[in-house]
Amino acid sequence: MTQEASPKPPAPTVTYVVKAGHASAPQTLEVHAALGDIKPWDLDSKLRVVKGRQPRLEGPLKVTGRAKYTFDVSLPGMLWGRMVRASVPAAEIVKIDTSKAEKLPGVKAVWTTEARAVRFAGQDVAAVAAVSPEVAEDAARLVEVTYDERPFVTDLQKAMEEGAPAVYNADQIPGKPTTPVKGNVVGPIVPRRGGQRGDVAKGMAEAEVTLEGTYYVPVHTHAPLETHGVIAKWDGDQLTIWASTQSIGTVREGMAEYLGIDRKNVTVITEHMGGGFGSKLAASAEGTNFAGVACKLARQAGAPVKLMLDRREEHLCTGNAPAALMTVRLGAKKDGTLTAIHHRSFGTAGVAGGAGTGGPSGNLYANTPNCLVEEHDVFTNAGPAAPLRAPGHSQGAFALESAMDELAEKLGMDPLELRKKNESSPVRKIQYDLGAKAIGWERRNKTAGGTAGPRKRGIGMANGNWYVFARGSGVFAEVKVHRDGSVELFQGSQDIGSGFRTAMAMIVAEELGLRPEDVTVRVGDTRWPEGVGSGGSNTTNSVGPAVRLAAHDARGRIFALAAPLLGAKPEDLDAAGGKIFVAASPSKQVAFRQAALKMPDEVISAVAERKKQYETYRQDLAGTQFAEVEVDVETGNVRVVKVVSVNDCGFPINMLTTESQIIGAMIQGVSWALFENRILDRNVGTMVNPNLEAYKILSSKDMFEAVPIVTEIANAGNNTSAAGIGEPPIVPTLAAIANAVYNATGGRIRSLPLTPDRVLAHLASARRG
Amino acid sequence: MKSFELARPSSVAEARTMLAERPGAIFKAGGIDVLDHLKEHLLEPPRLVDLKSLPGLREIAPQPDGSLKIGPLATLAEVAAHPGLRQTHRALAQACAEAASPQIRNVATIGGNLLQRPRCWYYRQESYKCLKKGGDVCYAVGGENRYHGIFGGGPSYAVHPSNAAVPLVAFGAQLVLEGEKGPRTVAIGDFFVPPTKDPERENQIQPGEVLTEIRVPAATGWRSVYDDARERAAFDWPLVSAATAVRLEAGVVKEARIVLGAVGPVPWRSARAEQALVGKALDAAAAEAAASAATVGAAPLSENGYKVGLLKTLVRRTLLALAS
Repeated sequence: MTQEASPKPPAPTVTYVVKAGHASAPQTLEVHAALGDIKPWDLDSKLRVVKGRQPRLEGPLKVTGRAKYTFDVSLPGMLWGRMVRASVPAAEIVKIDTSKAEKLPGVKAVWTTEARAVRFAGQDVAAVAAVSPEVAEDAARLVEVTYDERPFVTDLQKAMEEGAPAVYNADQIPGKPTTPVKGNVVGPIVPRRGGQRGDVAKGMAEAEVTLEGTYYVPVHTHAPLETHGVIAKWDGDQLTIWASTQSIGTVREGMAEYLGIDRKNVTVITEHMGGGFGSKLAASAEGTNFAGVACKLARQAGAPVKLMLDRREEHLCTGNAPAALMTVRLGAKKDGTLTAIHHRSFGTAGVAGGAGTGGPSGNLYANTPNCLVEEHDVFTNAGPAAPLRAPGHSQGAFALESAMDELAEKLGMDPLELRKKNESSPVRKIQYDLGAKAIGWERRNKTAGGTAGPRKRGIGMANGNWYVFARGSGVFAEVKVHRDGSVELFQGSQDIGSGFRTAMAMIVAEELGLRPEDVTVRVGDTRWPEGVGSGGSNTTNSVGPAVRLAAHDARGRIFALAAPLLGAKPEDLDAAGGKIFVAASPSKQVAFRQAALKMPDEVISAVAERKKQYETYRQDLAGTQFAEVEVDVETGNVRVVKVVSVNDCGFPINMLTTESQIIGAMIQGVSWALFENRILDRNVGTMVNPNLEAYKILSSKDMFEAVPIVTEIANAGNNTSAAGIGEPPIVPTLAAIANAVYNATGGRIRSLPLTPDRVLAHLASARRG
Repeated sequence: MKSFELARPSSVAEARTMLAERPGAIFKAGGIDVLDHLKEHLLEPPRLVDLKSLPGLREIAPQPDGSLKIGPLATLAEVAAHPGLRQTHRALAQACAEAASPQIRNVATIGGNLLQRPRCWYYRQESYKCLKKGGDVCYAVGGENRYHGIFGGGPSYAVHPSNAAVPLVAFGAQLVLEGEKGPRTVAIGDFFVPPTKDPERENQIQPGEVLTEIRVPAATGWRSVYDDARERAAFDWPLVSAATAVRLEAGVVKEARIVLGAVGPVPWRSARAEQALVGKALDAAAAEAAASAATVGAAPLSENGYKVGLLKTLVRRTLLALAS
């Protein structure tokens, strides 16, 4: 047997046999966990707390206004920072004159950029710190910037044209692409995950029916209610940053690097967070270094600096979801069996890359033998994109799942049957019937647009996909049980509003036989055991297993104290409802607090590290959605009546907040489909709607009946069986709405948002044929 | 925003004095529109003269003859909920009920609603030096003009933003303005100023004048209705709005008022559509004819042609609603 050049000894493992999958179709699976990991919760587990419906522990703080968000932090002697942003989309900075600002009474520090090239309106140029927000604003307005303006391009299609103004010179292109670059266009990029299989040309040739459609999704901005911002405070060489962030670790590392200081000297705190949706994963944000600037201003002024962006800045430079122009080609046999999927997209992440949209095309319908995804990044003079809730997948699913609907029409097939015919996931096969029943699929129009009158109802559906992302090491948790029986969990990840702290309390409570409210969860501080950034729907499933290990360790130690009191062996004990008891005769019991009193020291501290991720039941997360709409074909108004979202998230730790996540994703998706649209003036290159009046987000009166359904799937490759839910439920929404509009009206609208101007234009052109 | 001082007068006369003694001072009622202007530095007044707590300017008083006297400080919510007004001048109540959001309707006044500046996204941002701000271009021309006007021919294409003005024009309201020479009364139809006359204003209120009363004639024998088309169901501006009123005798239209909002620089009364109705039975054919007549003269920009179809639908639908 030949040995590899540098053999790694296999890490020791322990084998568990688990009952995996969905309860309606269980499957026995052997998994190989790291030594020291415990048997995962599976379909046979009798869970008392986990999977229940637990109101979030911080709920009372939030609804009474006592929860402290970054925006609420106020320190003695604190100054207010304010950025000055480029007012033009393309230029060389000739001069930045801060002399007038510096002379304004109350101004304590000034910063200017060293960069000279302006590539989008909204880029960092200068900043000030002053004694009040009003003085800071006045000072910022006194900064005079002289620009040598250059030609610019903000429109995706115009940027693709030959001779379009170059956003970057060839040697300046970010990310050093390995794929061809032509003008502003980088690509084709074939993604690693599901980018290519078989031969698409052959698959299209074998097809009996083919379909080609081109689809467009505009730029959507994250628009969290709490804007990006920090408070930076120096104590000697110690820097403390309160940040509205999805990743306190990234802020720590990014600021240490930017400022040239040790990470150990940086503390980052995020107690509560007012929304991020992917835009708050960077050390500052994609299009602005506001946090770094705030730290520098604070150091310069010798006082804490608070720098929260305003709503305009939030739209201009903190990230967005790329616009994308996507062409999907499908080939199928007459019975609906797909022979080929070809997805070619041109997306613009503004001055950044990463505008790919091929995830759904490459990974849904994985039985299709021939598939090719070709993505292109197109640079424009616009603010850079950031990950937005399943990056690229909502746009990609809008294209693929609209095309699937069109193919079904061409084949004369029920669109749901076409999906079922090509389904590769056993989970989605279960989800289809649950969703169809909840929406009443049989009520849809047999002929699209077939109902009488101007207000037409329709029902549509679409699929979405996502992946199990989880960290397998470097994540820690500490459970402290005090002698008085009180329990604390310390964990360094931040709760971004998803209910993370409550889910972790439930895991501890499950192990210790307590109620979740008995566990005080301390999160969102880099001084506590290392956490993860909250992106990729990975927080619960990266951290939960470490929390469970720590809690399980504490459980064993408490059982050892209780055993002599009960005249039993620790391994014969169980715990529930604040009691520890002999599993075989529950009347032999002792209160958790009584057992804790027996500890030899004042506290038990159980620390655990996340063990490696192992075999999962499925590596993908399945989801499908059904939507009912009413379209007024005379006003172009689209009203969403109902959306049913069926999702796989592994085991939901807290069913209540899991459903909240699903409902939130539906709302964001419907809002994207119907309203949201960043508009840059075509002549001037600046954003005309950088506010929440003209950048429209779904209003309370536009709310629909939102029905979340969770298909619980055991075994996601960790001891809790949790996977993720933050992102996947937004993926199908855009297409489900558009397909419902088609069913209502017979008009296939391939371009979003579905505002009256667009809807009326499409219906009019459809009537003209 | 710039710092300013807040002056709190106790009478209209004192308010006018407080305004006059600080050049650049402005009046404030509900403050919704003023606050937006301050935040965006479209106005940097040294003093705000707060009219909000002036006594006697907030009542909605139905008169014995069926007419209404509306104090300009009545909030949109109060107008929308007034039981008498809802009976006699339904379109006005409906227009106020549909505006903005509940929070804004509880603060915004009907006077402020009439006098507010346009919501055009170029006007509303300091960086665009447009015609309305003394510049020499209307950025909507050849720009992002989906929400702009289809009537009036410019040179500024910002649409008049007031929901309430649309039914008030239909009802032939009179506005009482109190200035240096005492009160004067202006018919609302003459009150608004098109950009051909002066793009930097939308009405003829003079510096220092205070709107003190809105008089709405009796609408005995009239039926009225307001409707609009919009993107969001709440917290949005109409794409097109319509206030329609008819006086019928034996099923035949004796008089009609058709006024459109968000299509031109002033509330847009369509005399042509009104003429198309007079003497006709109010039926589907008459409604259709009036709707078509209302579109005559529309000259859309590059992105707002859809408004022509919307106004046609709204005129037809509101008339049919009055017929039933």
